[in-house]
Amino acid sequence: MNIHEEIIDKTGVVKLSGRLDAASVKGFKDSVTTLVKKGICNIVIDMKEVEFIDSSGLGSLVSCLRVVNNEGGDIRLSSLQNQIRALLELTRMHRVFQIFDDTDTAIKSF
Amino acid sequence: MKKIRLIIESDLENVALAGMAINKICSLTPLNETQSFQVELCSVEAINNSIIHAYNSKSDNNVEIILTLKERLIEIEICDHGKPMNINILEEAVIKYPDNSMDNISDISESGRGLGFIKEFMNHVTYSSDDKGNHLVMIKRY
Repeated sequence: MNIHEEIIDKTGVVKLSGRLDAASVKGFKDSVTTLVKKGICNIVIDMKEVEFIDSSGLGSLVSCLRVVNNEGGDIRLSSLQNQIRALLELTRMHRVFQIFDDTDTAIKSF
Repeated sequence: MKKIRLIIESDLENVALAGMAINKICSLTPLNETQSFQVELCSVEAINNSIIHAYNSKSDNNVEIILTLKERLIEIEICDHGKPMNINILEEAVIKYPDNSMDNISDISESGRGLGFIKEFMNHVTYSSDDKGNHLVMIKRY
């Protein structure tokens, strides 16, 4: 999995590509933790190029949400592919995360 | 009937290779894109369980994946020689839903969804353990 972080208008944007699975969740969690340590607690996860997610990947989203919530921030998801959105809906995690069609809209929502 | 046997070393880095191969093999069947994704997901969850739980995340073991294409179903057997799973865990597995109120993030589980996905997406799942190893057999009909 490739992970790219940037800060836009005081919002952290973590762009993921590839597979968010048991092998890659540590890198993703580390990326979010790095932003939180910089004081960036409102974060958008751009999932446009995430083609696969497993239960570990879903768990990592919950884990990161917990971290930023503890700092008064939030995680919002953008650009989910259909299969991944369906999994979030099946597990009802779409009611926990705000999901946006594109990253710009997600950033502006903060 | 067509059959293929894949063997990976018990390292999580290798699971994607098996998952992507399984998804591609599903394209030979009438399963649609969503169903193929679900079969890949269930296979990945089962392989992850073998590596993490049966082998305690030690990478010097093998996980064997046997795919069989029959007339109206695909059968995926995941085999390991590690610690057997408590069959009750599989029987009781369901997808865990967050608390309806959604007010408290601490109510939301970070783990434990893998077997729930397997039970949700596969038509038939069995688990057995004997002196030849542990075998999780999943069937998806089409």
